[in-house]
Amino acid sequence: MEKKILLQAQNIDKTFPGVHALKGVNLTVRRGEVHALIGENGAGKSTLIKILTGIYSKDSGTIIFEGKNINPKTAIEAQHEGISTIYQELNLVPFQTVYENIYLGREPRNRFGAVDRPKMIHDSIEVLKDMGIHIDVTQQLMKFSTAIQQMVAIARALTIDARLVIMDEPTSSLDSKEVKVLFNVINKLVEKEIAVVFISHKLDELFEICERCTILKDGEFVGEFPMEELDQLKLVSYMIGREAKTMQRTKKGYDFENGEEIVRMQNIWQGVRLNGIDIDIKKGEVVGLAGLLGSGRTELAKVLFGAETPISGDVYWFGEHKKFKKPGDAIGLNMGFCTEDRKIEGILPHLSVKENMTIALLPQISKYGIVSKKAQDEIANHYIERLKIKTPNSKQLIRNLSGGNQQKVLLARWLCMNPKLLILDEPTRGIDVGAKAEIEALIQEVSTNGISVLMISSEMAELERNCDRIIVMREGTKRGELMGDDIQQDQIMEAIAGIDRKEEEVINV
Amino acid sequence: MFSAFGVMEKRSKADIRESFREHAANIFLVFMLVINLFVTPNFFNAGTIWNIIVQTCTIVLTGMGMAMVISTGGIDISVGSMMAVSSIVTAKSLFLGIIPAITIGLLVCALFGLVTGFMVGKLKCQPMVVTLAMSIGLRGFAQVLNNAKILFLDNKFDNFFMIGRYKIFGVLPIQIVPMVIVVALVYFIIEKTVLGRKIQASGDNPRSARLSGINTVKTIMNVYVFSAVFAGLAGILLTAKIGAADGNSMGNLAELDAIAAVAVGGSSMSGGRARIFGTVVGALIMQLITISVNMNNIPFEFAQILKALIIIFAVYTQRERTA
Amino acid sequence: MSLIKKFTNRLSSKTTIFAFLLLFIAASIIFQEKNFFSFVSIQNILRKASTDGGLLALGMTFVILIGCIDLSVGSVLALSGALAAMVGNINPVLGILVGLLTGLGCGFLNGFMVTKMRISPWVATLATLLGIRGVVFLVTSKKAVKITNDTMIALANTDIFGIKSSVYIFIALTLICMYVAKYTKFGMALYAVGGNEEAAKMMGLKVDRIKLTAYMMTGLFAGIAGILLSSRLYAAQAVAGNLWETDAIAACAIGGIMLSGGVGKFSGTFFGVLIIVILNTAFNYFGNVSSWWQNIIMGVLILISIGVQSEVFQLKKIKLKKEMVA
Repeated sequence: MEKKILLQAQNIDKTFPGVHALKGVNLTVRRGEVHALIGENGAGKSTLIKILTGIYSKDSGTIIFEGKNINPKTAIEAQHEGISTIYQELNLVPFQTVYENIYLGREPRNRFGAVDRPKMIHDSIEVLKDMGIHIDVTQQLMKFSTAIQQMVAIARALTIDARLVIMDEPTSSLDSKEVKVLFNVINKLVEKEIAVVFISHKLDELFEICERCTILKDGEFVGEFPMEELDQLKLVSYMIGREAKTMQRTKKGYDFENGEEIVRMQNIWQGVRLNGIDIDIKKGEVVGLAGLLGSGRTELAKVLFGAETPISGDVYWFGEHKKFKKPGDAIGLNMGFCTEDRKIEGILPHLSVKENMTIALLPQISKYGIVSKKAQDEIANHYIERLKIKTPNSKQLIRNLSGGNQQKVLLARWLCMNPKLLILDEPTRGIDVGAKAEIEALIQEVSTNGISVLMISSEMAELERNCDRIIVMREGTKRGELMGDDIQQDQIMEAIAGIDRKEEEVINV
Repeated sequence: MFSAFGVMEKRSKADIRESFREHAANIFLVFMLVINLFVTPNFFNAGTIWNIIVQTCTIVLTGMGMAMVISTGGIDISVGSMMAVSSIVTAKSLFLGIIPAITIGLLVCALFGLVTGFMVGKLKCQPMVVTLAMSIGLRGFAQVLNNAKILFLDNKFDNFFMIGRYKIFGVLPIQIVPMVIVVALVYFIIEKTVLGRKIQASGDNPRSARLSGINTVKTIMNVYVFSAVFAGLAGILLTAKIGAADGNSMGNLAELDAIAAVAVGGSSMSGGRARIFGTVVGALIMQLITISVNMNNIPFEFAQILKALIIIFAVYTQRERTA
Repeated sequence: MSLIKKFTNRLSSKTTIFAFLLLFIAASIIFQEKNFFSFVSIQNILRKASTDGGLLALGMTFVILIGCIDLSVGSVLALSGALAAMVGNINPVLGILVGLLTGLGCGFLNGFMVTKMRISPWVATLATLLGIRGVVFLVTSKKAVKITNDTMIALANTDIFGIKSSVYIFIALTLICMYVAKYTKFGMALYAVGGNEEAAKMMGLKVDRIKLTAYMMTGLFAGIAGILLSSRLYAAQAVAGNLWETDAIAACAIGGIMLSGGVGKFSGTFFGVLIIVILNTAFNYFGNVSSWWQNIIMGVLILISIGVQSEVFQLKKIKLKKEMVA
């Protein structure tokens, strides 16, 4: 008994300056279906969603919704058509009450023309009751947990007569009990023949609640499948895929088993992201952190660097117990951190290449607070040459450099401090192939010189090429560890998918 | 644009705006001088020039502090009232001796600056609101200290008056000395020291700054103390020259001149790069505006409106359009 | 929860009303001999509140609710009053109209700079504060404009049941504002834009238009204030309203209107105004230095109010209870 088609988006294409975000993508959703939209960072999921909800406009392709051709130009248009979105950041007004949030912008009037509050209150209670939720709608929204706030957002969508509800990472801040509540509500939506597009990286959930899925990779449409035809490994391999090996792996003659341990993190709990994870790093090792988006890799790095404080857990530096309260503490111990988003957290845009490079090093190259210009210039010129940074001189504003060169400057920022540990979060993201190769060579070089590297990357091939050991993270815990010859893309993917080869072998015997 | 390496670089519109900013102040200054040359009677004689130097002293001092504050992405509209406070406090403490009096005056200002810095840096309150409240409260404080009366200083304090009235070699106004010292000091701090870089980094991108190990809270508290002390110094110098401390009118609208000076001088109004010499040029321009308006019998309000427009223009043209 | 956090949570208009009553009773007791608690004195307080900036605070509430500010209200008050007086001496109806339109126009100017030119509210209204004051000086040649028309004089000074007409206007406008806030779409929109501008936009609210309207309201109220003030004083002064924007902001802050927007009630502003007037009156009993003490108190009050509102003390997402779900 096939469900009727509600939404058919075909050949959707969208290009931004410098990025071809969507290359002829399809999405077909049926009435009353829970449809997963899957893909890693940069796959194009959020672009597709924003096109459906009127925030972006497509360059080409067709969207047929409930039988007619639509092309929403604003969020409101999309809502009028019947497409509602529950965003990760919820987009509700925390200071307003629950019922006000549900009816904001569409307040019912009484016969005097005044906003009819009693009616809003009554109707809100009804809608929520329908969903199985009983709360005091006259309380401010912010007094309720994230889970309940999400329900309110869904209730709002229901009152706008949404036929399609898109949920963007709805379970990222929910605990298991709350997830059950959400799933109950989703089932109720299904009963009403409302379709749900479910975006998530939690593979278990996808298999639990979704019927079909559409997989995107690098802006391309990989395929649409019924969930029952897939298993976790197939899913992960579609998402991440194999990439051609463009570089040979350097074999290091270093005995890591007995190497000196420089970092040990034990039982780290933080926020919703880290759920009791242990990792350790040895001297001279390049340790890779693999995992899907949302697995907690960046959070782990930030905790190690002192940019975030964990709720519980211990960090040991060269065997000594340490408490990092701010980045300065970690920097003082010779740690460096290249952040994921260099624009937001990395560069000082209006300052020069020279200043950006030496900003963390200042205490060491200054006497009585006066910076040694000579030292600055020497260091800047040294690294410009060594890293082959393309800039006319060290006084150039960093914002004028290309992404790859900016990244090199940021790397130099930490390298010039002779770090003992270098944490790199997606170091080659958004960088051309040439610069990429140079950066990878650099990582090899520094680790040979005894500097340990913790590298977070979403590219399997990159991890395969560069790492001595790979720790696989999933939902804030360590799910696997790969060393030596086990480091291959297939193995990494299996680990992410949660398959333990050795276990399987034992069972098969 | 192709560099020596033969690689094309991103030469954005913002760059052109950047170089415009660098030179706008100088062009404007020359423009002002030329206009005055033709229009204002008696402009280019020694008396007027010395007058300009003496009167610019206040704007230069407050402008230096303001430049540092704006560099961290903040603002300080309490500098005028701060001048009044230092004026009265110092005048009242003169019986203890000149040096102790000045020290007390500056210390009081530093304390208030610390409060401001704490509220902006640690409590993360909006700088505008905090310094607005300060400007109101401090003005009241200054007035209350002397029962809302002007404090006229006796002739026995003529040593103190020297600070404001002395003429080097009988010709050069003494104000040159503090101006040069403070400008040199601030230039030195901004360009040569670690603190200067911390200040500019905190304003350019606070998150990157923090992740590079900079204590942005401490840095912000520092600049507000500087601003308060420089304003205090300006107040003391003016008091010495006038020979009286007037809590009511001292420093009135001084913040307008200071902010406009920084804006015209080409510093980034949203934080980051500070142009110290540009601010000095800006201070001169502001003073020229005031003097031109005065000497040509134009109502003072026009100067006010003009300066306000200048600030708006500077802020408006500096808005960066993000893709 | 720590004491401070508990306090800030309760910093609603209820606290303001409570504080007001407390203050009133205290003042009555302290100033018994000056007959504080008498009809005349209460009348005076209300009268002062209505013409000396109470309306400015009411108007200011609109822009603070959306997370912006208007520093030019004092200057707008002066300009409206001056123009209303000049025209009103010839034709009172026209005079009132001119005054109101001036307020609306200045509000529009401010709103335009903030929404279309995308200039920060602080910079924009600082500029209009100075610019409009300059215009007032030019238009009046720095001299007061005497009001000769009887109707204009009657506006604020008519006795109805022993209470001046300006008080009725003030209370009426407060009630109207309270109604607008609670029972109109515009009111709901104000709180939405102030509470989460991004969300408001996503919900389809026309944010720019709402901001512009809010600024025009602020301007309008400043205009009304200008007309009433000059009516009460029988003259429109060139320096009218000078520095009154701080009183307005303080009244709002004390009244529980959060400076970051989205929180606060007009009733809170009303009582915030009364508190400030009582404080001012109390200090006036102490001689001529009093007005400067008011400055100090004002400064301290604002600092405390915003310090307490600081996000350091606020729990951004207060998860008080996990609700029971069927």
